[in-house]
Amino acid sequence: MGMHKLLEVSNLSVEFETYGGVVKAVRGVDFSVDAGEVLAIVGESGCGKSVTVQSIMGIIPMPPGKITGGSAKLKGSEILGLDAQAANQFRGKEIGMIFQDPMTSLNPTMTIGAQIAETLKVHRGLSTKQASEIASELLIRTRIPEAQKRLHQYPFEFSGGMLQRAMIAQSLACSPSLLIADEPTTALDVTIQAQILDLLKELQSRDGMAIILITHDLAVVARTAQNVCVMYAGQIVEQGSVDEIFYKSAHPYTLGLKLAMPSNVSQQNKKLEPIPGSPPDLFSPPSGCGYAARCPHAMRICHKENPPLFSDPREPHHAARCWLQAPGAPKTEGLHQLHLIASHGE
Amino acid sequence: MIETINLKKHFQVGRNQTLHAVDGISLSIAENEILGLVGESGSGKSTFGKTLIGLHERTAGDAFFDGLPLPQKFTAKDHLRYSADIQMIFQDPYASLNPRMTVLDIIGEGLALKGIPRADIQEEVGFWLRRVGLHPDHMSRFPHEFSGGQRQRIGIARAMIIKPKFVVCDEPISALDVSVQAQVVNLLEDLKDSLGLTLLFIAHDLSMVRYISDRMAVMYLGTLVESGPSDAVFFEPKHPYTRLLIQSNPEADPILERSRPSAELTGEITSPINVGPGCRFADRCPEVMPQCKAVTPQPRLIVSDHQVACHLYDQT
Repeated sequence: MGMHKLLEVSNLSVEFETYGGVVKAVRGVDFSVDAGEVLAIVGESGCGKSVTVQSIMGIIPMPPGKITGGSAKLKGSEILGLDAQAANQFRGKEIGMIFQDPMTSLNPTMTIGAQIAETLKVHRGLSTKQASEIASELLIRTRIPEAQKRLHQYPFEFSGGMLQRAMIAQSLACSPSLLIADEPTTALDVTIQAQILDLLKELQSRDGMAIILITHDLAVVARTAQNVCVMYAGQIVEQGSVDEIFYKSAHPYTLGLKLAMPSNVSQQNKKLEPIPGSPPDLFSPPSGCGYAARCPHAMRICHKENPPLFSDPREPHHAARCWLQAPGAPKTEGLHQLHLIASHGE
Repeated sequence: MIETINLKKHFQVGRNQTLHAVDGISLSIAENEILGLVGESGSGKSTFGKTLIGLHERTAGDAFFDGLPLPQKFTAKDHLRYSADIQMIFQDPYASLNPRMTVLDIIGEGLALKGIPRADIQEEVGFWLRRVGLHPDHMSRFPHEFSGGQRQRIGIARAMIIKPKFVVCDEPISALDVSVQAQVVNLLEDLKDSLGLTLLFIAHDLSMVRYISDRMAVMYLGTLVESGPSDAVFFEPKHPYTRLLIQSNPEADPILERSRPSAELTGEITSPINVGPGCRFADRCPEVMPQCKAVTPQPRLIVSDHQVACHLYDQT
C-alpha cells in the first residue's frame, strides 16, 4: 500500500459558457482507477460522462469550457491545467484515448500506417523505418488482417470496425498505462461490438492496461467492466463493483435504468418501466437531488437538498447519492440498503 | 395484411456493378402483428421497408397489401392513395421533421391534404399530442424546442393521426436514451393494441426487437436467413448467423456475461455488389460445407412457422 492510484480524480467541476448562460456540465466528480482496472462510467446523453474524461485529457475547448475546481492526479502528479507542451507529454504517452466515431478522429489524407508512425516518432523519437515496423506489429496486435497491406491504406478504405481497431492500435503505440474509450462501440454492429470489447478485455488482462470505458449501454458495462460509476446530471449518483451496481442497486436511477431495459434472462416478458420526464436543465441545476423530479420515491428533502454520497463501510467502494440511504429513511422495495456512514457531502 | 414474394431491390452503382441490397425476400405480416426485422448495417433491412411501401421502386418480385398488389413504382397519386393506410416512422427525429413547420402543421399535414378544415385539424392534433404524452399547447412550437424523445413522439403522432393500418418503424428508438426508449416502445405497443395496427419494426437492438415483436425475421446481405415467433428465433436460433448474432448480443447481467465465451464471429459483413451464387454467409460461417458456396439455400419450414434458409437443414 501507500502507492498512488493510477488516476485519482477529486471534486472535478466543469462549466461551459454559452449564449444561454453557464452550463454546469460536471458538478463535483470523484473517482479513481487502479492499474489494470476496467472502470465504466455510464449515463445518458448530457450527463457529463464525456466532458469528465475530456477535461482530464485537457481536450475540452477553453473557452467556452472552464474547469472550475478539483484535481486529477496521474500516478500522483497533477494533470489538470497543464500548459499545452506539458499536456502533450502525457497525452498519448501515458493515457491513450479512442472515440466513438473513428472516421472523424483519424486524418483522412494520411495512410493508417503514417498516422500510427507519427505518434511513435513524436513520443519515442523513432526513425520512420522503426516506426513503421512497430506500426505493423500494432495492427497485428489489434487483429487487423493483412497488416502490411493495411498500413498503406487510407481511412476510407477501412470498415467501421477495422477503423476502431486502427484507432486502438494508434492509442497503444506508446504503451499507455491507461486507455480512455469514449463510446468505442456505439457506432458498430453487435457482432463487431463483441469483437472490439473482447479486444479491450484482452489488452487489460494480458498487458495490464487500465481502461476507462464511457458508455450509455448497461449491457456493454456488464460485459466489460469491473467497477462502475453511474452519472446523472453532472454527478456520480452511484458507484461500486459491477455486481453491486447490477445486483444491489442503491440509487433509484440505477434501478430505473435496469427496469427500462428488456431482459432476456428469462423467457418471460416483463413490461418495460420507462423513467418519466427528462434530465434537468444544467443551466440552473436544481438545488436538491438532480433526479428528484423523475424519481418515484422522492421525498420532501430530495427537492430541497442535494444528498451526500452515502457509502457502506462493509463494501467501501459501494456508494449512492440518495436520501433514501440516510439513517431513518423509509425502506424502498427493490432498492439495496447500504449500511451507512456518510462520506464527504456537498 | 402484408405479403412480399421474392422482393428485390438492386441499385446500379457505376458501370456493370449491381448492389443487391434486397435480394429475394418473401415474408408476410399478419393483421395486428408486430414483425421485428433485424440485421447488421448493410443487411438491407431499411431498404426492404422502404421498397415495400413504395419509397423505392421494386426491381422484381411482388408486394401485397390487404390482398391487393402494390404497384411496382408508386406514382404521386399512388403515394397519396396509400398514405391513408400506410405510414412510416423514421430513425432520426432531428432530420425527419421540417424545422420551419410548427408541430401543428407537421402533425396535421396528412389531414390538411385530405381537405379537412383547420379547426378540426387543431382539435385532432391536440388529441394526438395528449395521446403521445405531450401537451396540446405544444402545437404552436417548432421541432427544435423538443428533446429527441419528444420529437420521436411528434413523428409517431404525425403517422398515427391518419389512422393507418400498417406502419413501418425504421429504427425508431436507436437515437434515444434508454429511459426514453422504453417510453416510445410502450407507446407503440399501446397504439398497436388500441388501434389494431400492424407494424414492421426495423431495428438492430435484438433485445428490444424480441421484447416488442410477435415474430422476428433476420436479414443478412439482402437475404432472409431465418424467421419465426420471436422467442423461438431468440431462444432456439437455427441459422448459424442468428446464433452468432444472439451470442454477440450483450445482456445487462454481469454473471451471465462472465460465463459467456468470447466472440466467435470473426470477419465482417461483405459487399453486396455483384454477388455470386451460394449462401451469403458462407465465408463467415463456422459450419460451412462445400455446397454452401455453390448453391443458394432456400427457406424451409423447420417447425411450425419457423423457417430457415441454410443447407444444414437440407433433407431430413
